[in-house]
Amino acid sequence: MSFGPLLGGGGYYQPQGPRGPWLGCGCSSILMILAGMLLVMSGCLRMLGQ
Amino acid sequence: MQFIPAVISERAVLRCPTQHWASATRRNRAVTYSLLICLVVGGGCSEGPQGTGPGRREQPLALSPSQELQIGREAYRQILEKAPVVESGPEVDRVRRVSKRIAKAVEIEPLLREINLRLDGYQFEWEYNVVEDDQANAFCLPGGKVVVLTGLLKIIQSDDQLAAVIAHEVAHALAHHASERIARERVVGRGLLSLSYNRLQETEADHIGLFLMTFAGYDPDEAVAFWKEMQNARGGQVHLPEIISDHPNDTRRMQQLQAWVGPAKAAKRALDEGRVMPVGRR
Repeated sequence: MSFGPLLGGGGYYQPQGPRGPWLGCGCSSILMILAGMLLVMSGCLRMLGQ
Repeated sequence: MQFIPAVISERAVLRCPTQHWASATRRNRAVTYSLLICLVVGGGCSEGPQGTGPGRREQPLALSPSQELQIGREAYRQILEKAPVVESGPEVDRVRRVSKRIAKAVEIEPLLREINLRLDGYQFEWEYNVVEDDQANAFCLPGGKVVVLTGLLKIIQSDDQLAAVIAHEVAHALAHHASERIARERVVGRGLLSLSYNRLQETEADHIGLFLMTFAGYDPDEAVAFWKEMQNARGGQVHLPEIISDHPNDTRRMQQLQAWVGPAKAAKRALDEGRVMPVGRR
């Protein structure tokens, strides 16, 4: 017996992904990078302030 | 940006521990809120496309259902008037037999929902013809008008491979790619961006076509085999780099098709076993 998503819900036809034709807008990664930069900046400012 | 004044004020009050603590708390709070906003918005963006096109991508369309049908009818009439149509014979029978099975698969409603194909209000008048031409090519016009050139039939090794080609062409029509191309070119013109959309459509037609042929009862592994045959048939021909071509290169194509074979077979198994999402749920 095999299991998997129900047909009709988009679980099998998934174009997005590492080899998909459209890889998303990319803004997710940009925001993650921005979050990292904020962390570094706040750390630097904290050091400067002390 | 908001941290600079905070630092200046902090330097000015360094000797006051209470104020220093209050300033640091404000700054930490600002950083925390900024991080939260980034993560929430970033997380939202990573949910995937939520448009109305295939795979829920954004897809602008320029033509109404009746315009699509009309344009397809007219273009087909003009092509067949001038082209040397093969009226009958085993090749014609073969193309019609395979095409009819592909067209039957288009009626599988859960499959249409799975891919998110917009067919409500659209009419398909399926017609299949073979044209005498040495080029290895086939096409499907809007409204379901299919033409296969005899040059292609010389390369194809089996009905499964023919199904792969016809399903790919039918997928262009089902996904309203002609209508989308007109809408996109109105906005971005005909440049590199337009070529990247054309490559996207080719890849999408490969993906949809692979599902269609599988649901029509053909072996999706043969789609990969067909592209190997095409690569061999082209021999040492020089190809344009992908970025300035409107088609993905053969190697990428085969890799992608290979990756989709498993999901296509699993989806067909789900249908055969009755594991279908009720209408209206997602």
